[in-house]
Amino acid sequence: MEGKISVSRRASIRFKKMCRRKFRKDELGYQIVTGTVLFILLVLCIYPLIYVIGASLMTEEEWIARGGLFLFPHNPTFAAYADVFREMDLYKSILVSIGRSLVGPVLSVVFCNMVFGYALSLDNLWGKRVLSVFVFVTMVFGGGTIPQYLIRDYTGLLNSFWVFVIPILLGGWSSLLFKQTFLGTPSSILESARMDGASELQILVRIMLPMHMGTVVIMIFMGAVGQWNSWFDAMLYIDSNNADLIPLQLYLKNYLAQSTESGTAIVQNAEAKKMAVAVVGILPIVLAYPFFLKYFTKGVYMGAVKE
Amino acid sequence: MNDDFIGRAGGEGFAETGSASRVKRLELKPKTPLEKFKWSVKNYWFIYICILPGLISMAIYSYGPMILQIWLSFIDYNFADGLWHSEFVDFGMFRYIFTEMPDFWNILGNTLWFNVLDTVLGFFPPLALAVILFHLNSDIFRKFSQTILYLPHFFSWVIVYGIAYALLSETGALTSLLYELFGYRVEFLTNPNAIVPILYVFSVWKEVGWGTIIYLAAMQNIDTTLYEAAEVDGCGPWRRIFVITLPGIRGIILYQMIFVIGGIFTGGNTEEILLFYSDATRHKIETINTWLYNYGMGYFEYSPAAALSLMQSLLGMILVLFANKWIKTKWGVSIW
Repeated sequence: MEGKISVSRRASIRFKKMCRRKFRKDELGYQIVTGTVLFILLVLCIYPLIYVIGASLMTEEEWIARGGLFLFPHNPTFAAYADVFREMDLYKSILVSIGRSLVGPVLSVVFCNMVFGYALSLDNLWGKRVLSVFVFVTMVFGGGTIPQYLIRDYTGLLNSFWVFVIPILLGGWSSLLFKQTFLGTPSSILESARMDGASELQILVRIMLPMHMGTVVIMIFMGAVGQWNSWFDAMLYIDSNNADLIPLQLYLKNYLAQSTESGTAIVQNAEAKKMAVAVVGILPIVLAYPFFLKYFTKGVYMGAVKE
Repeated sequence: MNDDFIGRAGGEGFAETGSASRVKRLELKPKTPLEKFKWSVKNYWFIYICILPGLISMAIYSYGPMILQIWLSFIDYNFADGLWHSEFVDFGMFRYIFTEMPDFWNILGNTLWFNVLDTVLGFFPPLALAVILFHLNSDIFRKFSQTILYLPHFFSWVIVYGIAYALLSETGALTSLLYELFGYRVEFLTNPNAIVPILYVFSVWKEVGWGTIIYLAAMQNIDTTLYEAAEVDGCGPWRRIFVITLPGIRGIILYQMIFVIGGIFTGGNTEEILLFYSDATRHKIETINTWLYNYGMGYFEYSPAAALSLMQSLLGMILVLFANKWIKTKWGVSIW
């Protein structure tokens, strides 16, 4: 509650200051200059996206006729999407991507990182220091591509769905972030819960989880996005002929690398189809993004920076 | 609150802080190590069981490769003899890297050049953008900008490459536009001189908005009365950036700097480079990380790759420690 009051007070101070400052000449100049710069940046940031979406909706004739930069196609068509979705492998890759984005974060964030962060936040846990160091070392030292590949090979994870999930169950950065967040819990609440005989599991589920829901949600979202976006692991650990386990992003990468000419015949509408697959890869993120937006500013880094 | 924050950001804010405010267990605190152990097992046995799967996975998949890497870099691995019977060659692999390995100095130079551009220059745009966002008068415009600027961070590198392809390939938007204007087809993605700046531009495009978050969070804690006082004293809007805002987040800036210095050998986004890779540009963007993938995996040069990777991570760690020490003695900021 205290935090809330001070934030709104700060906002009101800022507002008053803003009103006063609006009439200053140099301040106005500053605002105009930086506002313009920011506006240009925004255009540069959003235009490529609009272009990609527009290109995916274009007919081939229009593509050839117009070329260059454009905003929207004159007569948009979903022909490219219809073509793209005729291929069975795309469905498979979407399923793989959805599967790993659901299973990965749940197992890793909720069952490993959160619990581990909670364990590290406990006061008298025996071996706490050793555990912290154990996790911290992995943040500084990496194993290198080849040994990682060999270990996954020896443990039989190659060409299996679990290669996406099991090796990254426990993450150093996110478990330390959970620890930092849980340490910010008012001690009186924990004290009274323990006095009433709550077990550690009850404290974690009934107190920590609801209190720090923002952090948990954001970590799950980040985990899901990370899983959705990764392709390099699949390239390393999944046989390239194994279409059942190729995630969408790797499918897209291979699709982009395809030549526009296959054999002698020119592939119909090749560019629009490539852009259509790209849009399929972006769309879930763009759709989910607004719902998680509010957590970004107060969730992740705020947890680390202030109480 | 302000002083408190600067102290934390500068000192131990991000590392593990002591938990002075935490509750002690209600029971009597055990004294000897054995008693502590027994007490802990009795009270927290469930926690120990819960963290076990994660720990096992980390032991196998994080520590396993680390140990294997050290072993691999001291033997001359070949498939016939396997891991245990390949010849033990001491520091032979390291000698091989420095004296005989083709391309070594080239990829080292590329790595340095690429990372200087990517990490050192990539360090300033988010900071500048954070300052612009922070001093905006309109809250709505700020929120709107943040919404759009954060978005590219959540796209995969494949998508970013797709966008680059759409704009810069032979039939791409920008290429076509320039062709119409000047009647000349500019090569972008296959041009060895343009590829490093292009990689830089796209990695900035992806991460610049997201990079502002940590600075904006720090700026929230600057005392607003400072700005009022400065204004009364006749401090203009440009000057206040250098007099108040940047010094106010000094701790975070220096903290980030340590990682920038530490990443000079280890940094460089493998995924990004591999996607933009083409035969024409290969010699310009082949860095240590991509070499490990292309040659180590592609040509089964397991031992040289392991040795190189080991050297790289040791060097990275030494640099972090060195940077940390230097910045700590000079400005009193440390990562732990």
